[in-house]
Amino acid sequence: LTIHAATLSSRKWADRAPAGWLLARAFIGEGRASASWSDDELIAASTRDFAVTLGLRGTPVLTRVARYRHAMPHYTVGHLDRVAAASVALAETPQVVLAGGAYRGVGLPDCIAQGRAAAARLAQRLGGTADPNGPEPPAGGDASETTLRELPVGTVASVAAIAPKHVRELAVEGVGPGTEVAVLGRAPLGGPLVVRAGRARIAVPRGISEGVTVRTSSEPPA
Amino acid sequence: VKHHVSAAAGSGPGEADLAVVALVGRPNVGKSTFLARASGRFVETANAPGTTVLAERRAVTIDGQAAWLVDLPGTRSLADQPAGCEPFWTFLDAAQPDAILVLVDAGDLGRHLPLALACRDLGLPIVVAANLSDEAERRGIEVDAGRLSQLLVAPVHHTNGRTGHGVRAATRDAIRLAQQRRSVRRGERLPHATQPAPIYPPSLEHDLQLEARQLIGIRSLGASAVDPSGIGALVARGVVSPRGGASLARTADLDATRRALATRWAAQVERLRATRRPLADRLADLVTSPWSGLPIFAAVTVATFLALVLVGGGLATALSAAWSAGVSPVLASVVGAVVPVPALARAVLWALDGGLLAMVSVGIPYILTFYVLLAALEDSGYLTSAAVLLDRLFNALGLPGRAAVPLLAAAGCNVPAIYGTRILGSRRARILGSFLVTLTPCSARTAVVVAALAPFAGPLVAFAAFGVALAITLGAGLAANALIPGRQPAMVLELSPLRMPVPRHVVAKAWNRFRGFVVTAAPIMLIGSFVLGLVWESGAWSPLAAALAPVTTGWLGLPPIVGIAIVFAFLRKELALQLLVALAVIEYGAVGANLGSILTPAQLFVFAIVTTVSIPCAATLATLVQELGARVAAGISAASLGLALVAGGVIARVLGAA
Repeated sequence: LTIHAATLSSRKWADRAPAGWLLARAFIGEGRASASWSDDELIAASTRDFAVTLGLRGTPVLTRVARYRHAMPHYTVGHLDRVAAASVALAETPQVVLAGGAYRGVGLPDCIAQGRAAAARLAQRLGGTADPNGPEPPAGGDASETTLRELPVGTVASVAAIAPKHVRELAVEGVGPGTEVAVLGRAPLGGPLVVRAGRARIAVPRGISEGVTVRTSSEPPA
Repeated sequence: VKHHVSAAAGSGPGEADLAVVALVGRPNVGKSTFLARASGRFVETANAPGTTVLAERRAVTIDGQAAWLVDLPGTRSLADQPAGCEPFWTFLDAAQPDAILVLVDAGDLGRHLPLALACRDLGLPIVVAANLSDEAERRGIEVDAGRLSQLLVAPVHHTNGRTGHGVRAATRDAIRLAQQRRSVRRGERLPHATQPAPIYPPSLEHDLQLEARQLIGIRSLGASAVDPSGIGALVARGVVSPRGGASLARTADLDATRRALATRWAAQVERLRATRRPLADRLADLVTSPWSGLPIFAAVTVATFLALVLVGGGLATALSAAWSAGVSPVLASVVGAVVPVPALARAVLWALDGGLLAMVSVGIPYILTFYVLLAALEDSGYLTSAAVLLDRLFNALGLPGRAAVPLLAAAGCNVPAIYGTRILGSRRARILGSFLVTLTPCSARTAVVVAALAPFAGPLVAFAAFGVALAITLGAGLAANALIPGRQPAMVLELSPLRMPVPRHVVAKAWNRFRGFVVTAAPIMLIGSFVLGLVWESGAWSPLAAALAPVTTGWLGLPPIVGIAIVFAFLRKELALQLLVALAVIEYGAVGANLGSILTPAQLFVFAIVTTVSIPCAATLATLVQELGARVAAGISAASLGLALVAGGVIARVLGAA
């Protein structure tokens, strides 16, 4: 067989073909047919495969060939690891999120779902709320932003943004957008916050902690 | 501040030409333990008082291959700039390494790899030691060293400084690479044609190339005006490659990228396994949480003080008993036979008998004990971790929370406390801390205050004197913090994890510091006691008392002889009271033996405060000079003397003694 897949479109959806006629769609991947094949060669291969698999005889009255060169990503081994790494890397730039066939599924429903999730995440990061009719944002339904200073003790949050003047000081301690943080305690008399950042513990003066915006993925325990 | 690297071991022939391996790592990654394992010596000369060495180097030979191993201070990035110091990379300039051995925490690669990347960017060969592998193991983290070394294009070793596992292998690799580079630099060998593939985004690599070209341009100009940072000179001397220089100049741009890369690589090379959180981590949470942490801190503080008093006190009694039974009689007869003039012989005995006894009965029991305790506390990681809870309190005095430790030690003896201010970090904090240390009554001064006031004015008055001294100390601390420029803004601080101290390391550290103390203090105690003996035996004190009378009598409202006692307390604080009694007996006859009959309680109070606050003793002064320089030492002494005189005069007037 040459074709990868086929859809009997007029059986699947009404009004795709006049009564008594059949609209069939065949998919051919580049692995099985050369890109140099002519339209006629592709039509011939498809017609032959429909005959072999479904017993459809005869010559089509209407044919259309659409070529989408390099359109569908072919994931290779390790794809999900790479996607995860890319997301981690992009935590640095919260205004950019990934969506599309290259990442988590090539099908239309997959792409639409990714697009909606991305839009919801961006809306959240820009301070608005996600479209109430849209799907749930992937990070959990009741995400909310606050400053590190206000974060209740014991609540796990991730760093969303850092005031520019503190970026470097926190960066050398390994804290940047995306770092998971939790306040372990607050020193008395307005002293520093003891914070678990990633796997380390750091003391963050309260003044600096005000410049760190964090996002909690769930409501703090009551 | 210029950093020096000096040879710790004797530099024999050929050693000058050895390849140099620099040891770089974040604080608390276990560098000193690693170095001890690599060189087979648990001697911490870097922290020994009496040297200006901030980085230490040791000749290390592994399998017949020798190189210098230079231990650089812990740093979070190559551009780190502690208060009042030049950026970290100036150490590289001083050390001129041929290869860098980067220590990273195997349990926290995401935070440690950026430093390794920064070292790799310098254009020097690097070897990465994934250290603390035992702690990582307990946290359920296993590092795929092979994969990490592919990513870094550098050898990666699992190491554990505590057991020594992997240390030799990592060091051997580093020495090999250092020797290779050195022979390349000498032109004996062709450089490797392969350069590691660029790891940063193209735009960043492009910026680095532009910067590198500029740096090469600076080299040809040879002008320092166009190279204010000194990076161009670093490149010109071949310490780092042009791209390496560019990476230093562009640290701020590279930080985020390196961090992102490190996070990604860490995720790729770590194998995680579910484990129960290690005991050390759970303890660390307890220690830093205010509810449990403050009581624990109070308990540790009190325990330290009690250990100092009990162990120190016990040892002091035993040693001074042994001294007077065994050594004093021998010294007396020997000196009497050798020195013909009786008065001079007695003065010599003041030095040899009294001075050495003071060393033996204060130095060994209190100071050595304190050093052992301090080293154990430091190595356990407890101090930086817990004291953060007290930060705010001490911030008012311009100090970090861990200043509690040296100040506490000061109540025993000021000398180790001033060495102890090393843990405060910045020079400003050390100056402020040392000033407060000198104002804190040490055990000798406490004894003087108690003995002068309790019998004649009652224990409550003695207590009140300590209250007044404390108030003076706090006031002076607040004022000094306001007056000395360069206030440090609060900083983000990494809290060290808790770990069991390595006993050999603790003992070596304590012993080295103690040796430093003996070298500093012993001559001063001897000379001071001798001078005191001379003045005493020759009767020269009488005209001196007259000269001091305007201050002693006019301002403080005290009899002239008290001035002598206060002045000579500079040489031996603990003798202030005995001196006063002896002088009183000479001046007033037998009645003088009872201080209460010649001084009113108000006058005794003034005497106690002035003795406590005024100029630190000679040993303390010498330590100040050695640790902070003559100018600072003079400033602190002048400040405390002024403070003592003002406070004494005011108190004398308030109490109606003058």
